[in-house]
Amino acid sequence: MRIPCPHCGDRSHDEFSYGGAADRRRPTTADFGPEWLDYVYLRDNPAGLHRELWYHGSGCRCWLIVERNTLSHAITAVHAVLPASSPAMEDA
Amino acid sequence: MPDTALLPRSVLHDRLRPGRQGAATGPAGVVIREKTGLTLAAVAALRGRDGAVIAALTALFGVSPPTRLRLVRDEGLAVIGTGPGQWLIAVDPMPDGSRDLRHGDLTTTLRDRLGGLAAVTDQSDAWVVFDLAGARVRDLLARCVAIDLDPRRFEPGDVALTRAGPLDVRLWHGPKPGRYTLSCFRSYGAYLARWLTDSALPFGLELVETR
Ligand SMILES: [Zn+2]
Repeated sequence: MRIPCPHCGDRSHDEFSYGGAADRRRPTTADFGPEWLDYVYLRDNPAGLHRELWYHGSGCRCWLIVERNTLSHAITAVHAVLPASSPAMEDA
Repeated sequence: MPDTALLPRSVLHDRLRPGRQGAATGPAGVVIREKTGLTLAAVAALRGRDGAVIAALTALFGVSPPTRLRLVRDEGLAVIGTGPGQWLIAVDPMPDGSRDLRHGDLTTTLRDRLGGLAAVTDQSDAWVVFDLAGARVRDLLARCVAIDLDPRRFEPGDVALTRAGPLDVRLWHGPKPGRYTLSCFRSYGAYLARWLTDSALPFGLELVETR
């Protein structure tokens, strides 16, 4: 499997580390309960399109969001978690 | 006062046999030379300060830092894009091997100019840097890295951060076409050197002695 990094180009997946599903959100409650149990331990196992995090540790050292089909490994979209550097960000 | 200055020494010192090796007919297909005496500093812009860092580096060096994985060179100085908002500054040594001090102590100068905008770290003794040249240099690199080395895709001035086997490496092309620079962290330098020199034998290798 090769991942097209928006900074580095097409690279073998062994340059990356998998970071789990991209859209999981940390529970806001401080009390341990079903929400935290779900967040910490339970994983979906979708057959098909999956949005997931990958870290390009041997390349640009950036986190990426990759849309991958778990049945075919076809990758349909990749973008950096942080927007690309631009002087326009200066005032943000 | 005792003199506590430490002299940098190549990790390859006494470890590799310099000279002409491998396939012996014709000129050496690959020439490997360790670049020593470089002054290196890493610059990482703080979040949202990229524009100000680019302006400050441009004012200091007179060249504008690349905003992609590219390098620009100007008279013994290279500004190498190493990721979004990150650069490696490399200053060649003087002809006699001593440090080029035209920007003073490079890390101190950068910290003065980039205070509050970027993190600056001295990297001078952290990397082992090899100059690779010769007619078969791309055949050698093809044995080490899994990127497209065709010069139409990896052009002079292009930079790649990738892997050579188990090692994270930095590779850049030129700017002179057909000349490549490959570097890795110092503690892996002997390993990478052995890999390069072994891989180069079928092409005929000239390993230039490191001072
Ligand atoms: Zn990357």
